[in-house]
Amino acid sequence: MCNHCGCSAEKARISDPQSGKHTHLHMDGNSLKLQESLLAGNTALAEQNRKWLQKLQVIAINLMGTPGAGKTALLEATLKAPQFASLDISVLEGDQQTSNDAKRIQSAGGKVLQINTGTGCHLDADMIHSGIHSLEPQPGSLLFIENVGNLVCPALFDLGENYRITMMSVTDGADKPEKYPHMFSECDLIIINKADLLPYVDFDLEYAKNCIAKLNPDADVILMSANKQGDADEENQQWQQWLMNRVNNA
Amino acid sequence: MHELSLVKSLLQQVEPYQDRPIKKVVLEVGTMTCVDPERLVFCFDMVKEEAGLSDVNLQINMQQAIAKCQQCEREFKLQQLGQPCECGSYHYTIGTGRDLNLIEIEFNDV
Repeated sequence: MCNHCGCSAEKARISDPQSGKHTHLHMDGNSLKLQESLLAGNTALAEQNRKWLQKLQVIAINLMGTPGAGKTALLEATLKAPQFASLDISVLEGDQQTSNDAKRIQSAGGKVLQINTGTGCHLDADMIHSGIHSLEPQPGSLLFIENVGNLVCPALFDLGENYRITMMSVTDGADKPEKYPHMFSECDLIIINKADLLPYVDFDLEYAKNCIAKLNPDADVILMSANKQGDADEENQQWQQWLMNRVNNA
Repeated sequence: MHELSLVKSLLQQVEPYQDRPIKKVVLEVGTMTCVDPERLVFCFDMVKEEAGLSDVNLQINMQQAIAKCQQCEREFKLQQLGQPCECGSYHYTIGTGRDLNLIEIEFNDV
Protein backbone atom coordinates (compact mmCIF):
# COMPACT_ATOMS: atom_id res chain seq x y z
CA MET A 1 0.00 0.00 0.00
CA CYS A 2 1.21 3.47 -0.79
CA ASN A 3 2.49 5.22 2.33
CA HIS A 4 1.58 8.63 1.07
CA CYS A 5 -2.03 8.22 0.22
CA GLY A 6 -3.04 4.75 1.32
CA CYS A 7 -3.98 3.73 -2.24
CA SER A 8 -3.54 0.08 -3.09
CA ALA A 9 -2.72 0.79 -6.70
CA GLU A 10 1.02 0.21 -6.51
CA LYS A 11 1.16 0.22 -10.28
CA ALA A 12 -0.31 3.67 -10.45
CA ARG A 13 2.83 5.40 -9.26
CA ILE A 14 5.76 6.97 -11.02
CA SER A 15 8.72 7.19 -8.66
CA ASP A 16 11.97 9.05 -8.88
CA PRO A 17 14.56 6.71 -7.32
CA GLN A 18 16.89 9.61 -6.47
CA SER A 19 14.50 11.81 -4.53
CA GLY A 20 12.12 9.06 -3.47
CA LYS A 21 9.29 11.31 -4.54
CA HIS A 22 6.50 9.95 -6.62
CA THR A 23 3.57 11.10 -8.64
CA HIS A 24 0.31 9.25 -8.97
CA LEU A 25 -1.61 8.25 -12.02
CA HIS A 26 -4.88 8.90 -10.23
CA MET A 27 -4.49 12.57 -11.03
CA ASP A 28 -7.53 14.31 -12.40
CA GLY A 29 -6.10 17.29 -14.27
CA ASN A 30 -4.23 19.20 -11.58
CA SER A 31 -5.95 17.47 -8.72
CA LEU A 32 -4.59 14.50 -6.79
CA LYS A 33 -7.20 12.42 -4.96
CA LEU A 34 -6.07 10.93 -1.68
CA GLN A 35 -7.58 9.19 1.33
CA GLU A 36 -4.98 9.58 4.04
CA SER A 37 -5.74 9.87 7.75
CA LEU A 38 -4.19 12.90 9.44
CA LEU A 39 -3.71 10.79 12.55
CA ALA A 40 -2.20 7.86 10.66
CA GLY A 41 1.24 8.44 12.18
CA ASN A 42 -0.09 8.56 15.74
CA THR A 43 -2.39 5.58 15.21
CA ALA A 44 0.44 3.44 13.80
CA LEU A 45 2.69 4.29 16.76
CA ALA A 46 -0.15 3.64 19.22
CA GLU A 47 -0.64 0.22 17.65
CA GLN A 48 3.09 -0.44 18.05
CA ASN A 49 2.88 0.58 21.73
CA ARG A 50 -0.14 -1.68 22.22
CA LYS A 51 1.67 -4.68 20.72
CA TRP A 52 4.78 -4.04 22.79
CA LEU A 53 2.76 -3.75 26.01
CA GLN A 54 0.68 -6.78 25.11
CA LYS A 55 3.81 -8.85 24.54
CA LEU A 56 4.96 -7.91 28.05
CA GLN A 57 1.44 -8.47 29.40
CA VAL A 58 1.42 -4.94 30.76
CA ILE A 59 -2.02 -3.39 31.30
CA ALA A 60 -1.95 0.29 30.31
CA ILE A 61 -4.55 2.74 31.61
CA ASN A 62 -4.88 6.24 30.20
CA LEU A 63 -6.04 8.46 33.07
CA MET A 64 -7.54 11.69 31.78
CA GLY A 65 -9.54 14.47 33.38
CA THR A 66 -9.75 18.03 34.58
CA PRO A 67 -6.71 19.72 36.14
CA GLY A 68 -7.05 19.22 39.87
CA ALA A 69 -9.60 16.40 39.63
CA GLY A 70 -7.33 14.29 41.82
CA LYS A 71 -5.65 12.06 39.24
CA THR A 72 -2.30 12.07 41.02
CA ALA A 73 -4.01 11.64 44.39
CA LEU A 74 -5.80 8.56 43.05
CA LEU A 75 -2.49 7.08 41.91
CA GLU A 76 -0.79 7.89 45.22
CA ALA A 77 -3.60 6.24 47.16
CA THR A 78 -3.61 3.25 44.82
CA LEU A 79 0.14 2.79 45.28
CA LYS A 80 -0.26 2.89 49.07
CA ALA A 81 -3.36 0.69 49.27
CA PRO A 82 -2.62 -2.65 50.96
CA GLN A 83 -4.99 -4.32 48.48
CA PHE A 84 -2.59 -3.48 45.65
CA ALA A 85 0.65 -4.25 47.50
CA SER A 86 1.22 -7.28 45.28
CA LEU A 87 0.91 -5.22 42.08
CA ASP A 88 3.88 -3.78 40.25
CA ILE A 89 2.69 -0.28 39.29
CA SER A 90 4.56 2.24 37.15
CA VAL A 91 3.43 5.67 36.02
CA LEU A 92 4.05 7.96 33.07
CA GLU A 93 3.23 11.48 34.23
CA GLY A 94 2.15 14.03 31.63
CA ASP A 95 2.22 17.77 32.34
CA GLN A 96 3.23 20.85 30.42
CA GLN A 97 5.84 21.83 33.02
CA THR A 98 7.37 20.67 36.34
CA SER A 99 8.11 17.26 37.84
CA ASN A 100 5.82 17.87 40.82
CA ASP A 101 3.55 14.92 40.14
CA ALA A 102 6.42 12.54 39.39
CA LYS A 103 7.93 13.43 42.78
CA ARG A 104 4.62 12.68 44.48
CA ILE A 105 4.39 9.28 42.77
CA GLN A 106 7.99 8.51 43.70
CA SER A 107 7.30 9.40 47.34
CA ALA A 108 4.33 7.04 47.26
CA GLY A 109 6.65 4.24 46.14
CA GLY A 110 5.93 4.13 42.43
CA LYS A 111 8.29 3.78 39.49
CA VAL A 112 7.72 6.95 37.51
CA LEU A 113 8.83 9.05 34.57
CA GLN A 114 7.73 12.64 33.92
CA ILE A 115 6.87 13.68 30.37
CA ASN A 116 6.74 17.46 29.91
CA THR A 117 4.81 18.44 26.82
CA GLY A 118 6.01 22.08 26.83
CA THR A 119 3.32 23.97 24.94
CA GLY A 120 1.50 20.73 24.07
CA CYS A 121 -1.85 20.11 25.72
CA HIS A 122 -2.01 16.30 25.49
CA LEU A 123 0.18 13.21 25.35
CA ASP A 124 0.62 11.44 22.00
CA ALA A 125 1.69 7.93 21.02
CA ASP A 126 5.24 9.05 20.23
CA MET A 127 5.75 10.40 23.78
CA ILE A 128 4.43 7.13 25.21
CA HIS A 129 6.71 5.17 22.88
CA SER A 130 9.77 7.00 24.28
CA GLY A 131 8.33 6.89 27.80
CA ILE A 132 7.79 3.14 27.99
CA HIS A 133 11.21 2.39 26.57
CA SER A 134 12.85 4.51 29.29
CA LEU A 135 10.55 3.41 32.09
CA GLU A 136 10.69 -0.28 31.12
CA PRO A 137 7.56 -1.53 32.87
CA GLN A 138 8.08 -5.09 34.12
CA PRO A 139 6.25 -8.03 32.49
CA GLY A 140 2.83 -8.52 34.04
CA SER A 141 2.78 -5.04 35.60
CA LEU A 142 0.27 -2.21 35.57
CA LEU A 143 1.08 1.04 33.77
CA PHE A 144 -0.83 4.23 34.44
CA ILE A 145 -0.49 7.06 31.97
CA GLU A 146 -1.59 10.27 33.67
CA ASN A 147 -2.51 12.55 30.81
CA VAL A 148 -2.26 16.35 30.84
CA GLY A 149 -5.21 17.81 32.78
CA ASN A 150 -7.53 18.77 29.93
CA LEU A 151 -11.02 17.66 28.96
CA VAL A 152 -10.64 18.24 25.23
CA CYS A 153 -7.46 17.28 23.38
CA PRO A 154 -6.42 13.97 25.03
CA ALA A 155 -9.67 12.35 23.82
CA LEU A 156 -8.46 12.46 20.23
CA PHE A 157 -5.15 10.63 20.65
CA ASP A 158 -4.81 6.87 20.92
CA LEU A 159 -1.74 6.10 23.05
CA GLY A 160 -1.89 2.33 22.79
CA GLU A 161 -3.70 1.96 26.13
CA ASN A 162 -6.06 -0.86 27.13
CA TYR A 163 -8.47 1.28 29.17
CA ARG A 164 -9.45 4.91 29.41
CA ILE A 165 -10.57 6.63 32.59
CA THR A 166 -12.04 10.13 32.72
CA MET A 167 -11.91 11.80 36.11
CA MET A 168 -13.69 14.89 37.37
CA SER A 169 -14.43 16.18 40.86
CA VAL A 170 -17.55 17.54 42.50
CA THR A 171 -15.86 20.96 42.67
CA ASP A 172 -15.69 21.08 38.86
CA GLY A 173 -19.45 21.46 38.38
CA ALA A 174 -22.06 18.89 37.37
CA ASP A 175 -22.27 20.03 33.76
CA LYS A 176 -18.73 19.00 32.81
CA PRO A 177 -19.85 15.84 30.93
CA GLU A 178 -22.38 17.88 28.97
CA LYS A 179 -19.79 20.56 28.18
CA TYR A 180 -17.04 18.13 27.14
CA PRO A 181 -18.94 15.23 25.57
CA HIS A 182 -16.07 13.73 23.58
CA MET A 183 -13.97 13.04 26.64
CA PHE A 184 -16.84 11.47 28.57
CA SER A 185 -18.12 9.43 25.64
CA GLU A 186 -14.83 7.75 24.87
CA CYS A 187 -13.83 6.08 28.11
CA ASP A 188 -14.45 2.87 30.03
CA LEU A 189 -14.76 4.38 33.48
CA ILE A 190 -15.79 7.79 34.80
CA ILE A 191 -14.67 8.74 38.30
CA ILE A 192 -16.40 11.57 40.14
CA ASN A 193 -13.93 12.46 42.85
CA LYS A 194 -13.94 14.48 46.09
CA ALA A 195 -17.30 13.01 47.12
CA ASP A 196 -16.48 13.97 50.71
CA LEU A 197 -17.04 17.61 49.68
CA LEU A 198 -20.60 17.01 48.46
CA PRO A 199 -22.19 18.52 51.60
CA TYR A 200 -20.27 21.76 51.01
CA VAL A 201 -20.62 22.32 47.26
CA ASP A 202 -23.50 22.89 44.90
CA PHE A 203 -23.16 19.74 42.81
CA ASP A 204 -26.19 17.97 41.31
CA LEU A 205 -25.01 14.38 41.22
CA GLU A 206 -28.13 13.05 39.51
CA TYR A 207 -27.79 15.63 36.76
CA ALA A 208 -24.17 14.64 36.12
CA LYS A 209 -25.01 10.93 36.14
CA ASN A 210 -27.93 11.52 33.78
CA CYS A 211 -25.66 13.33 31.29
CA ILE A 212 -23.11 10.53 31.48
CA ALA A 213 -25.82 7.90 30.89
CA LYS A 214 -26.77 9.65 27.65
CA LEU A 215 -23.20 10.11 26.45
CA ASN A 216 -21.77 6.77 27.45
CA PRO A 217 -24.40 4.32 28.69
CA ASP A 218 -21.91 1.45 28.87
CA ALA A 219 -19.33 3.23 31.04
CA ASP A 220 -18.90 2.44 34.72
CA VAL A 221 -19.34 5.45 37.02
CA ILE A 222 -17.69 5.60 40.43
CA LEU A 223 -18.16 8.27 43.06
CA MET A 224 -15.21 8.38 45.42
CA SER A 225 -12.84 10.35 47.63
CA ALA A 226 -9.44 9.36 46.28
CA ASN A 227 -7.38 10.87 49.09
CA LYS A 228 -9.46 9.07 51.71
CA GLN A 229 -8.69 5.61 50.39
CA GLY A 230 -7.39 4.40 53.71
CA ASP A 231 -11.01 4.37 54.86
CA ALA A 232 -12.80 1.16 54.06
CA ASP A 233 -15.82 2.93 52.64
CA GLU A 234 -17.91 1.37 49.92
CA GLU A 235 -17.22 4.04 47.29
CA ASN A 236 -13.49 3.50 47.29
CA GLN A 237 -13.95 -0.23 47.27
CA GLN A 238 -15.68 0.15 43.91
CA TRP A 239 -12.47 1.58 42.46
CA GLN A 240 -10.40 -1.20 43.96
CA GLN A 241 -12.83 -3.73 42.54
CA TRP A 242 -12.82 -2.15 39.10
CA LEU A 243 -9.04 -2.20 38.95
CA MET A 244 -8.68 -5.73 40.31
CA ASN A 245 -11.20 -6.98 37.75
CA ARG A 246 -9.07 -5.54 34.95
CA VAL A 247 -5.92 -7.08 36.40
CA ASN A 248 -7.54 -10.48 36.90
CA ASN A 249 -9.10 -10.52 33.45
CA ALA A 250 -5.85 -9.66 31.66
CA MET B 1 -5.05 23.02 21.04
CA HIS B 2 -4.90 19.68 19.27
CA GLU B 3 -5.59 21.37 15.93
CA LEU B 4 -1.94 22.45 15.87
CA SER B 5 -0.81 18.82 16.23
CA LEU B 6 -3.05 17.94 13.30
CA VAL B 7 -1.60 20.74 11.18
CA LYS B 8 1.91 19.43 11.94
CA SER B 9 0.84 15.98 10.67
CA LEU B 10 -0.71 17.60 7.62
CA LEU B 11 2.54 19.41 6.77
CA GLN B 12 4.44 16.13 6.89
CA GLN B 13 1.89 14.46 4.67
CA VAL B 14 1.91 17.24 2.10
CA GLU B 15 5.71 17.55 2.03
CA PRO B 16 6.35 14.75 -0.54
CA TYR B 17 4.15 16.58 -3.04
CA GLN B 18 5.73 20.00 -2.71
CA ASP B 19 7.89 19.62 -5.79
CA ARG B 20 4.92 21.10 -7.66
CA PRO B 21 3.26 24.37 -6.65
CA ILE B 22 0.22 23.51 -4.54
CA LYS B 23 -2.90 25.63 -4.84
CA LYS B 24 -5.33 23.93 -2.51
CA VAL B 25 -5.42 21.21 0.12
CA VAL B 26 -8.76 19.59 0.93
CA LEU B 27 -9.47 17.89 4.27
CA GLU B 28 -12.45 15.85 5.34
CA VAL B 29 -13.36 16.38 9.01
CA GLY B 30 -15.96 14.27 10.77
CA THR B 31 -18.46 16.16 12.92
CA MET B 32 -17.72 13.82 15.87
CA THR B 33 -13.94 14.35 15.97
CA CYS B 34 -13.86 17.32 18.39
CA VAL B 35 -11.87 19.20 15.77
CA ASP B 36 -12.88 22.79 15.16
CA PRO B 37 -12.57 23.59 11.43
CA GLU B 38 -12.04 27.31 12.00
CA ARG B 39 -9.28 26.63 14.50
CA LEU B 40 -7.70 24.20 12.05
CA VAL B 41 -7.57 26.94 9.39
CA PHE B 42 -6.22 29.39 11.99
CA CYS B 43 -3.38 26.99 12.91
CA PHE B 44 -2.63 26.26 9.26
CA ASP B 45 -2.42 29.98 8.47
CA MET B 46 0.01 30.38 11.38
CA VAL B 47 2.57 27.96 9.98
CA LYS B 48 1.94 27.81 6.24
CA GLU B 49 4.50 30.41 5.25
CA GLU B 50 7.29 28.65 7.11
CA ALA B 51 6.30 25.37 5.44
CA GLY B 52 6.52 26.92 1.98
CA LEU B 53 2.76 26.75 1.54
CA SER B 54 1.91 30.45 1.81
CA ASP B 55 -0.29 30.45 -1.30
CA VAL B 56 -2.19 27.33 -0.32
CA ASN B 57 -5.88 27.51 0.42
CA LEU B 58 -7.10 24.99 3.01
CA GLN B 59 -10.58 23.68 2.29
CA ILE B 60 -12.44 21.69 4.91
CA ASN B 61 -15.35 19.44 4.00
CA MET B 62 -17.38 18.38 7.00
CA GLN B 63 -18.40 14.74 7.15
CA GLN B 64 -21.84 14.12 8.68
CA ALA B 65 -21.81 11.62 11.54
CA ILE B 66 -24.04 8.58 11.06
CA ALA B 67 -24.80 6.26 13.96
CA LYS B 68 -26.41 2.85 14.06
CA CYS B 69 -28.77 2.13 16.93
CA GLN B 70 -28.08 -1.08 18.82
CA GLN B 71 -31.72 -1.21 19.94
CA CYS B 72 -33.76 -0.76 16.75
CA GLU B 73 -30.86 -1.12 14.27
CA ARG B 74 -31.85 2.09 12.48
CA GLU B 75 -29.17 4.38 11.04
CA PHE B 76 -29.56 8.04 11.87
CA LYS B 77 -27.78 11.38 11.52
CA LEU B 78 -26.04 12.16 14.78
CA GLN B 79 -26.00 15.94 15.30
CA GLN B 80 -24.30 15.83 18.68
CA LEU B 81 -23.07 13.34 21.25
CA GLY B 82 -25.66 12.45 23.85
CA GLN B 83 -28.52 12.68 21.34
CA PRO B 84 -30.93 9.72 21.50
CA CYS B 85 -32.01 7.59 18.56
CA GLU B 86 -35.62 8.11 17.42
CA CYS B 87 -36.53 5.01 19.45
CA GLY B 88 -35.18 6.69 22.58
CA SER B 89 -32.07 4.58 22.99
CA TYR B 90 -28.65 6.02 23.80
CA HIS B 91 -26.93 2.79 22.84
CA TYR B 92 -25.55 3.27 19.35
CA THR B 93 -22.36 2.87 17.37
CA ILE B 94 -20.93 5.79 15.46
CA GLY B 95 -20.07 4.69 11.93
CA THR B 96 -18.96 7.71 9.90
CA GLY B 97 -18.19 11.08 11.46
CA ARG B 98 -14.88 10.29 13.13
CA ASP B 99 -12.63 10.65 10.09
CA LEU B 100 -9.86 13.18 9.73
CA ASN B 101 -8.54 12.74 6.23
CA LEU B 102 -6.41 14.49 3.66
CA ILE B 103 -8.50 13.85 0.56
CA GLU B 104 -7.21 16.09 -2.21
CA ILE B 105 -4.26 18.21 -3.28
CA GLU B 106 -4.80 20.63 -6.12
CA PHE B 107 -1.77 21.93 -7.98
CA ASN B 108 -1.22 25.13 -9.91
CA ASP B 109 -0.45 24.87 -13.59
CA VAL B 110 3.28 24.42 -14.03
